[in-house]
Amino acid sequence: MFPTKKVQSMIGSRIRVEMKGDNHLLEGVLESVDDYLNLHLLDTVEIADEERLRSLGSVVLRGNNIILIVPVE
Amino acid sequence: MGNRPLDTLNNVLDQSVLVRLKGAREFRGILQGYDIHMNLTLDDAEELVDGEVVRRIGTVIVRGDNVVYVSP
Repeated sequence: MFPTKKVQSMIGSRIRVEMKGDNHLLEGVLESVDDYLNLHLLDTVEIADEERLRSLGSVVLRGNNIILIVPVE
Repeated sequence: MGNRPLDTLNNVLDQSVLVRLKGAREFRGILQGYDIHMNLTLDDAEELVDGEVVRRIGTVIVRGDNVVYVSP
């Protein structure tokens, strides 16, 4: 399965995203994704060391900063 | 003409690979898919530090620009 297809299959589900140059994770419901791997997340929270830091709500992530995308069970 | 590098990835689909990322991070998992950017989908993935498993993640998508190498 192509990685981009896999990400598209996660639309509507909760994912965790690791970004470059940032020790924080972002966790939210994937609303949409494009060819650049830009993501739109809803109900997004910022997490560090499994602790919720703050709630950001709707967030659009620029794809080039992404390292990892992990689905949340 | 020999195989291109990405053909090698195609030949190891559904097999275990070791993926080295920038920042000296490593992941091992079953290669489920890849594309021309070397974005990867790994199943049953685990993160390694100094060769030791530090966490098991399940499915993970790795963005290609972080990849240093993929070792079947």
